[in-house]
Amino acid sequence: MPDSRPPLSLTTLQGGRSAETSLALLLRAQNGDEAARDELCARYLPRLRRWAHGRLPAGARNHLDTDDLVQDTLLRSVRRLEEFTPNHERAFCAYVCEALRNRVRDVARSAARRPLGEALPEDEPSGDPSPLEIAVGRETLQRYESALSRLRETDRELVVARVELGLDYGEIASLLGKPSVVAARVAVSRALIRLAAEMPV
Amino acid sequence: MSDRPDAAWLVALGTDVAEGRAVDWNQADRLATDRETQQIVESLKQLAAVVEAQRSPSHAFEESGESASPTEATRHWRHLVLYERVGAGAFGSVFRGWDTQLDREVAVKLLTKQRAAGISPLLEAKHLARVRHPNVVTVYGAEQDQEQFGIWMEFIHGDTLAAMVEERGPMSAREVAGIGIDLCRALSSLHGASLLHRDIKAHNVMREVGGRIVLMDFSGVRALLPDGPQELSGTPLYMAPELLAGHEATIASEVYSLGVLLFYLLSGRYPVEGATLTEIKAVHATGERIRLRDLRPELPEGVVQVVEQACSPDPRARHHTVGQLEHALLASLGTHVLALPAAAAEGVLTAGRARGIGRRTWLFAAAALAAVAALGALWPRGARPPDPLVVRMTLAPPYNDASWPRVSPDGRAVLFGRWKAAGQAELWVWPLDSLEGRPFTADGGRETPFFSPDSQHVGFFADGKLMKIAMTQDAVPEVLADVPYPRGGDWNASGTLLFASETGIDRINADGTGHARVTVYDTNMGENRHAWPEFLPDGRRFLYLNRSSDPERTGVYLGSLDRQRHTRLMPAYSRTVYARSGHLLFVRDGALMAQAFDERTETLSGEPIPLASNVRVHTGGDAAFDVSDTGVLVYRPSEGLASMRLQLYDRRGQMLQVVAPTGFYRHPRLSPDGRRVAVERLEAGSSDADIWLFDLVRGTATRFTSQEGADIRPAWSPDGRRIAFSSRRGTQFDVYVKTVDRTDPEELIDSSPGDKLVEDWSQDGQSLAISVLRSGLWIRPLSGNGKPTLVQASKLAEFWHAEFSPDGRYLAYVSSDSGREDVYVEPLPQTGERWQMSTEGGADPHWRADGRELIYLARDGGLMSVELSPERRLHPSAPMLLFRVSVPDLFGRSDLSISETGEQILVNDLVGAPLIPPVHVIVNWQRLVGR
Repeated sequence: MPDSRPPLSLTTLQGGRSAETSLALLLRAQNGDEAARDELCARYLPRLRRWAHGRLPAGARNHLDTDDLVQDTLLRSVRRLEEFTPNHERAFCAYVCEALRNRVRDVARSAARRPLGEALPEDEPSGDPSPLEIAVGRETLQRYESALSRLRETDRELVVARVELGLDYGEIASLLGKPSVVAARVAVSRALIRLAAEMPV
Repeated sequence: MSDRPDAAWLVALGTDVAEGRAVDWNQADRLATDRETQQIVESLKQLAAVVEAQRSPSHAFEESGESASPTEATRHWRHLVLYERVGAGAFGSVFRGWDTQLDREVAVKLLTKQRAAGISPLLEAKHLARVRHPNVVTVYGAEQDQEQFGIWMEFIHGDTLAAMVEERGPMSAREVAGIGIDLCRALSSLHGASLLHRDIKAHNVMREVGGRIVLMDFSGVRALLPDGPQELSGTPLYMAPELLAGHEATIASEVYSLGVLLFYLLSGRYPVEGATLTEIKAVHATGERIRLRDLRPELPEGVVQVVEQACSPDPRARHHTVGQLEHALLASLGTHVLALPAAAAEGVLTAGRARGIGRRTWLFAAAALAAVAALGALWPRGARPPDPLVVRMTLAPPYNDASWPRVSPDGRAVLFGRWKAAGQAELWVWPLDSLEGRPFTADGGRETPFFSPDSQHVGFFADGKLMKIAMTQDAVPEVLADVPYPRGGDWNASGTLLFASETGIDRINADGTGHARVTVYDTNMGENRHAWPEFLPDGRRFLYLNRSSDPERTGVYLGSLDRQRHTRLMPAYSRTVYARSGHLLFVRDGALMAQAFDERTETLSGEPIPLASNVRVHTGGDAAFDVSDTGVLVYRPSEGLASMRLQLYDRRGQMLQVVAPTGFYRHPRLSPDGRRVAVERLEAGSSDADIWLFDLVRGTATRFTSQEGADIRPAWSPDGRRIAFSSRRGTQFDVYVKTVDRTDPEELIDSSPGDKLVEDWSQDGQSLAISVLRSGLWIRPLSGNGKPTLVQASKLAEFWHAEFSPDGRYLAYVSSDSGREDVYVEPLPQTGERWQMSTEGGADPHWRADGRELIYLARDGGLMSVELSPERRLHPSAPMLLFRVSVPDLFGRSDLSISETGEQILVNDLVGAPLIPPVHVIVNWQRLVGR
């Protein structure tokens, strides 16, 4: 038997092992692993809920409705996982948020429709401001979102994952195949700078 | 994009914005010198607002006046939702809240920055987060923003002790003693982390629904023995007189406050009362005190005495530690240990933390031990007490498999190292008069400690150095010498330390001077190690182990500081310690033995007497036992075997096949055709591994080697017909090759000095990669007269996990040169270059047969894949996670093998960790050998 001091403790390794990363969950979910799907939903649901709360105008924000909306969108996105190829396009967060953004727009528009059935022009915002709009101003938010949509996929994913969903850097590193937490942090920073460059004042 | 976004300050600015941190925009404006950068900075200002709004969507809810959840949410702070205010003070408020990240109820304390200024509450909160004790509120986290400092912790549903006394009046003696014991334990864990609470009072202790006593409120907590002056903290009624006189807080002042608290619980009053600080000081000055006896004449005398002693005005008259106070309270509950008839208890009083034994029993046993240890301390000097009690007991973990217990010469404390995180160890001390151990040093690897004879200092090995440290709070280790391969040390009364070096046994003075060789092992005689020096009582002669390829030379030897000596005493190979009872203690065949030894004539006599069986020994000679000068013996049994299962996976982590039944396996290797697995297997009851072959297609298992010593490290020849392996048939591992169908006789390949472990067999069949312990990683040609070449010399790590690339042009291996194990690839023959393959640490690398992929294990158990393009000189891609595995240990022996296509991955999965047995303590063990 080798003559070196004791090997790493088994218990330590087990205790120190972090939870499965989102990427690993995604890969498993893609293979039809129901448990991974559930876990993924459980992990993202609270963040997306908060995300949606900030973006729905007060008039359209009924607590239960919002939850349904978020859950439904997330489940649909996860079901469509087969369409992702994580090697090349690890843009799960951006994808889910984009889907949710569209749903939120629909809801906001329909909430603004009065009387029922009267359509609004496509890009006209709803009458009531969302909490985020209240906080940063509708115009700024629009510039932000439009710049975001012009970013390349990986940058968009970095911004959405960190800024919008508040994932930690370890998670982002794993999700986007960054080698380390530091690398992820720098990547987010650079994506944010490119986003800023896309936002003419 | 231009290269501008790469400017370091801009990246830092981006990070600050992404984090929602405060940004010095004026400085950013100054640094942005061109239009494009100015525009980016302007946009970043807006983005900062967007980030901030998304990080705390609180105002969203506030402004709409709408609740965020079914519960009435009022505010947010960071990721915390704040519900109702449950407490308020001059400096801040406490809220019941919800942690949206942990998804649990929390108590949130928010302090304004003025309060926080200058005293770094964040740092203190971090200290507190280290304290884990059932009677201390658990702190989850702390953060600050521009205005506020916040700390959040578990929310306790219950009442403060103050509220209980106010509502229901004074408590019973039994109740108060119980609360006191719990609080002593809570404070002991705090003090153990070098922290003082400084605000112990009835308002800061809660009784949770269900009865748990919880120490709260750490706004007063400071590190013990601070550098600068402290400001006054705490409530004057609870303050020790020396604090009011301007002295610094100490453990004694904590004992005082706790005494006052118990006084209050028993009476609703305080020993010194007054309406203002001045008044209280004045009363202290007169020396007048309210007597508990006057308030509650019916209380048992014991309890009154303990409380009065704790809040004595003279710090020296109080209990010296909260541990002492705790024992006094225990005794006041009527645990009359000393009244036990000693004769009736010989070898009988056994207690421990076995399941089903309640805490009462445990406290009882500990009190018994403390009492008996005090008796035992008298033993070597003066008159022996009549029939000293033999007490056996166990100390519960935090032991783990890195723990080799040592007892202090005075028998008062047990010391051991333990792993706390991957690759990190710490020293723990367990005072035998306390109910629990505590970390003794804050960080760093700590191995094989040994005490100074006065028990005041400890020598130990860490990070390739011999160090010493005082046994006091906050002591700082001092480096004495470089010792890459620690194999024990000892310390004599004149301040000389012995330690095993690379050449033999060395000496050094405790101040780091006078480093010199004492013994040198003789390689001509096959000797390869002198280890585990242990002084005899004269502090000049010492015992040590000598290991040689000649079994006749291996054994326990006597050496001397004064002259060249090399006298063999006995053939055992375990650390051997002289006990003052006149015995040598050592482990033979797993049994801890005591054999009579006359240290004057240096002769052994009689037969060894077994004291305990199944005691843990290390292959390096260390044995998990120690003995004090006062008759305290400690030892630790071997842990059971871990259970593992060899399983075959595809690249996505889908399990394809269970290759072998649950058992103990290491170092699995798939045959080149992928049909068979060669693996080390250790069977229960055996101490030596053999190599087994498992047929994946037919499902059969065959034992490939069966000689007595260990056979390990199988490596397939490229044609799959032969297996090279390492076999220990004497005192070292030699290399053998055997045909799989066993047609040809086994062939001895390498019997040069040293333990030689087979790493890999090159694809051209011409050479083996072999690691030689304490030498390095070698490549050895199998035929002709080619000489072995050294690839890397041993430094600290001995596990190389080397594997040839399929074209034989490169060698992948693990090295910890950077301070962390990483996978490297080096060209063959060597050019001096090498490439790092893993990015966050890695081990166990394996090539795919086309050489274009390397699969390895990351530190967190992730199975990583790196793509390689040989055309571009081994330019590795970023590692990609395939799936996660759970192996016995990542940086020890190998647990992984991959098929030629890389599509099938064989993993040695850990399915059950071994049980870690506790440390056993025998007080007055010499009674067991009739002395």
